[in-house]
Amino acid sequence: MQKVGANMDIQSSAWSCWLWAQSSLPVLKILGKCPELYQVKGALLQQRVDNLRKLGLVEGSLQRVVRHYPQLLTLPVKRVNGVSRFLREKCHLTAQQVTDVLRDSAAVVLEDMDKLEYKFQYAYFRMGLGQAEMVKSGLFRVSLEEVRCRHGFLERRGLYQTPDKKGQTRIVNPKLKDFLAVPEDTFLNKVAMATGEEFEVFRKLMDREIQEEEEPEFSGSDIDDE
Amino acid sequence: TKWAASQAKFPSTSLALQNFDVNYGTQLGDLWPSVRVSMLSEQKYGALINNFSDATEVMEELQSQGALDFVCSDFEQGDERQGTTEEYLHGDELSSVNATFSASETQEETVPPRLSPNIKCLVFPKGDISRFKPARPDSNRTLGYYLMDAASLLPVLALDAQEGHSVLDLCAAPGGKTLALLQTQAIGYLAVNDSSVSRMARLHRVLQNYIPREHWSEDQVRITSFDGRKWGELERDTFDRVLVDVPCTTDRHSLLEEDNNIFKKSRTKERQMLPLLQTQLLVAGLQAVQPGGEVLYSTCTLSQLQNECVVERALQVAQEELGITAHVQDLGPFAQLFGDTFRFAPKPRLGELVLPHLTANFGPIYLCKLHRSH
Ligand SMILES: C[S@@+](CC[C@H](N)C(=O)[O-])C[C@H]1O[C@@H](n2cnc3c(N)ncnc32)[C@H](O)[C@@H]1O
Repeated sequence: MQKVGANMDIQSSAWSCWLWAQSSLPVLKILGKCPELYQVKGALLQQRVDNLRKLGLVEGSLQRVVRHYPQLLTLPVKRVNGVSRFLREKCHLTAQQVTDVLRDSAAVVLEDMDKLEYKFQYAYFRMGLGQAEMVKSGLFRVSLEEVRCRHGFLERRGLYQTPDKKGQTRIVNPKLKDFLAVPEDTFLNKVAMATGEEFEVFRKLMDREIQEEEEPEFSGSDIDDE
Repeated sequence: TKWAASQAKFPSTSLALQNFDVNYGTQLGDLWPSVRVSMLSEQKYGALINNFSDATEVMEELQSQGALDFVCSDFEQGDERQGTTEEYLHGDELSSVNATFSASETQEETVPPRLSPNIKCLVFPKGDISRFKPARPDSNRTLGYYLMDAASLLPVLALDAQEGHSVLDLCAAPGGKTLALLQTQAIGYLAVNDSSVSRMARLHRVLQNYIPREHWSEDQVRITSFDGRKWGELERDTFDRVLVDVPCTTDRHSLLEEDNNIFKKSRTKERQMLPLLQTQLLVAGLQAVQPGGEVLYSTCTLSQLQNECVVERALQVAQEELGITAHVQDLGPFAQLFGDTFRFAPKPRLGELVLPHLTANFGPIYLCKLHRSH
């Protein structure tokens, strides 16, 4: 993948236009992280950067995104705008919330759209979350599988309840920021109060449950027991 | 469908969960969340090996898939572990020099519990979520293994039926434990009973599929369909061993299946009457067993009201109303023997209770052994 030499010469002008101007950006580190960027033509790069600005990522945020997730600049404008439109129209996020998601959870643009939609619906209906909470808790940084797994684990342990129509629950749900986008240890020790072995088995069972929901013909045997 | 719509508001499974959250939350405290998540997730099975089929071949095949016999392997480890048991007891003794344990008592405790022979049951190891395939018929059309909650074998193992014993299985259908009892090939006479005619039909089918004709004789096995509560009047002081595996709230089933759910509003009365029915069945078991014999009471619920309380009440009724004296046997060593396969509740007041755990998702099963002295 690392075809540095020739391309580097051709495009170095484009890079210096913008990247070198950003005195705070560790350019070499970024290129090392995402060598595909060498392949992006100067004009295209400019277009993509401009587009991100249009989506509300002004200088500080823009630099932050490029530093943490340079892959964003390898994607066509169409894709990025598609995801941003999806977040606004299907998930009813405000323009500011979309900007926040792009800044803090830029990988969202690579996610499968069907999964993204499912994740939103899961968070909205099953977990009872509002858009502001979704954005703040880092929901868009966590994979659908992980969200279902952690939430399902808490729910079955009796530690999380879907709020009713009035937004009420019989127990106090744990704060999302404490269990979604945190390391597994923290999740287990601070919130779930469970061991790693339990969670490991649960994850396997959950994977199988989901797989069988999707292809119901493959499922367990009928057992005569009681 | 209409039915689903009208049920959706209060599904019986949710009513069961609410009930358990209140009762077991109090009873089990910090342990409840781990039991709850286990009961709401896929349970594990054990494959009871059918000695009337090509058992060795069947065992080998299941072993090659990674399954292990928990009865036998624990038994062997039990022998090794005896050392530690002794050490433990020894330490205990030292720490309570003044509390005089009589030598014979101490010895009795270190003797590994006797188990019904020839019962083999394979399970996948802790944390392994593999499933058993349904058993296939062999050349004689006999099935090689019976899939059941491995913990529900414990009551049969603890019953300890010996060579030539006469045994009563008071609530037997659909027959998992009956089949396990027959695997011992030691029982002299087995009476199999269940009041439900339709469930008895299932038991017949199980026996047909597992026990070939030539091993089957009418004067060794008798099948009846009486109300078990009447047994004391029918046949008193008769059996060496009685298994009383009563109807209960079947906790796991009640959390997962709408069908036939005892937490349905329309079955409230029936559910509330369960402890009484259970007590009457256990009292009938105490009447049916002969003095010196043993009764094993078991359920698949966590509920103290249906477990310890029933045992206490039955002992009281038997004593006061029938002059029957019985004592609870200590199953501690027995539980210790199987502590690698199952999670037992820390200290139940009486008997032993298997708590479901994600890494060993068997149970719940409660068992309590009673010795009738006269
Ligand atoms: C937990 S199930 C028994 C399971 C069985 N021992 C096995 O291992 O497959 C309880 C059984 O008790 C039966 N039963 C309910 N009331 C009874 C009664 N009054 N007398 C006898 N059996 C009864 C039910 O029909 C049910 O089959």
